[in-house]
Amino acid sequence: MKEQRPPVVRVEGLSVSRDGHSVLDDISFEVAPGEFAGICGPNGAGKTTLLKTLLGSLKPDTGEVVVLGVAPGHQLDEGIGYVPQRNSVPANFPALVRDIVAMGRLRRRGWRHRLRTSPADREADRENLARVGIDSLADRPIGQLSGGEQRRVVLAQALCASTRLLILDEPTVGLDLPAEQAFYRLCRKLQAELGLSVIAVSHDLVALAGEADRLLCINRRMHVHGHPDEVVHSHALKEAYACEFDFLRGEIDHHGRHGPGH
Amino acid sequence: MLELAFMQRALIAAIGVGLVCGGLGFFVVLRGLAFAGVGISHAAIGGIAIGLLLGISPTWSGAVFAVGTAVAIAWSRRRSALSQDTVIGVFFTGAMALGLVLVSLRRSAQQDLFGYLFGNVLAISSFELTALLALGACVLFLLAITFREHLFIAFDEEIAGAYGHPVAKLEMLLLVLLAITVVLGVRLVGVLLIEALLVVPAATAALWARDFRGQVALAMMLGAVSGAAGLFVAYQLDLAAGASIAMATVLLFLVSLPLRRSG
Repeated sequence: MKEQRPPVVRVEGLSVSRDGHSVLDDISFEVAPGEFAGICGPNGAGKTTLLKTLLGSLKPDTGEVVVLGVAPGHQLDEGIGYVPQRNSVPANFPALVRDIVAMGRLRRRGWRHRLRTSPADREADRENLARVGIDSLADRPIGQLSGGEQRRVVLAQALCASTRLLILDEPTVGLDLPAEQAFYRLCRKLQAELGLSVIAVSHDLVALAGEADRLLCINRRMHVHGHPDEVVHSHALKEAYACEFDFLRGEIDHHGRHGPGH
Repeated sequence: MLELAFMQRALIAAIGVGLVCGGLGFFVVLRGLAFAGVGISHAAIGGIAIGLLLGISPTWSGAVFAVGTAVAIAWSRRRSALSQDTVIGVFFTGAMALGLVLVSLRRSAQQDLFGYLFGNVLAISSFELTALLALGACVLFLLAITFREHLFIAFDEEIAGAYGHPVAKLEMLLLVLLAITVVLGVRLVGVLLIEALLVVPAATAALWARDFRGQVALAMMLGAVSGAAGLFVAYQLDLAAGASIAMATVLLFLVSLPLRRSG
């Protein structure tokens, strides 16, 4: 039955350029409801650009992107939960954990609720904090938490924004190995519990391969996508990562050889 | 002193401006807008000078310059290759120099300008007071309904943007509110000392309170208390009112500093 529900994300022939340089070229994939899709690729491969396109903050040159049934950035009520690369929260940031979590819901709250958080919202915030296992920290200042705990706060905030689709961009940078594993395990648990779809970007192939249902390896173009086991053992993967070096060499050759083609 | 009508008006103005500056000051401190505040207030001098020369209301022409500078600063944050500090530096000195050049054309204007630089709250009319309170209430209202969004942007503007909050517009709003607040404070402490009310009460509040509820409430209270206390001392000892108010904010900060550091 699962296969018949429309995909949460559908990308078709997507090309994006930034400052006149092609960053993504002819990318196509789908993410099914309840699926954990990992996106890997070397530095500068366009992973973050792809996520920003899904979030609607970058516009595609060509191709079609549909997120939760509409164009990116046009989700009306429940949108995308977003956990970006680690931000450093100043130790004295003047807000409590529950305030930070409630921010995820802010866009969905009506004007009447701008000044006060309703009891129902407060309850839902608590629930999301419990889901990520830090409900006991709700009344602590955010700056007092450890890096791993702060990541969980942002994850709970993302759940307040959406229980359908989470987008994680290198969410574990700066965490040690146990904290990284715990974070991904938690994402897996949430995915199973809530039936939400997860799209996670990481340069850490091993961490992703352990958790994802499907791996997409990109380096400007889509090199391979499929089940993690297939991807990890495929030639295309080596190609994608080696491409970086090929590309550099190509540039060096280019100076001597001339001509725009490959 | 309170039986005097002009002192009553001055006291109400001091408390009102103190409340608005304290509330907005929370974001000035949190988002590092102290230099933007200096730039906006000094740029207002250019507009005030034009007003004095042309015989139009210097407060209004000053407001135009202040808001214009605020818009330029907000714009440069997003779209300019120049850093925000650089843009503030250009506008601040450019507008201020223009003001001083214009004022040097007419000697009588120099006297008047002095009142705008350092404040002249005892001369505030009831019309001015009413306008000040109405505008101040507008600033606090707009700040209150966008408060959580500004806090979100301060926490992480990337996430806030991804969730559809208009980050650039909200930043523009915050800086325009800052410009309006600067103009509100011109009568009370003058353009040169308004920064004291914008930064110091909020900085003192941050020493005492952990989260934004406490900090905003305390900053507003400290702003109002500084305004009233400074005015009172100035009246008793026959000192400059604006400078006394600025001194009061700084004294409260200096007293708080060792208490909070050791405790």
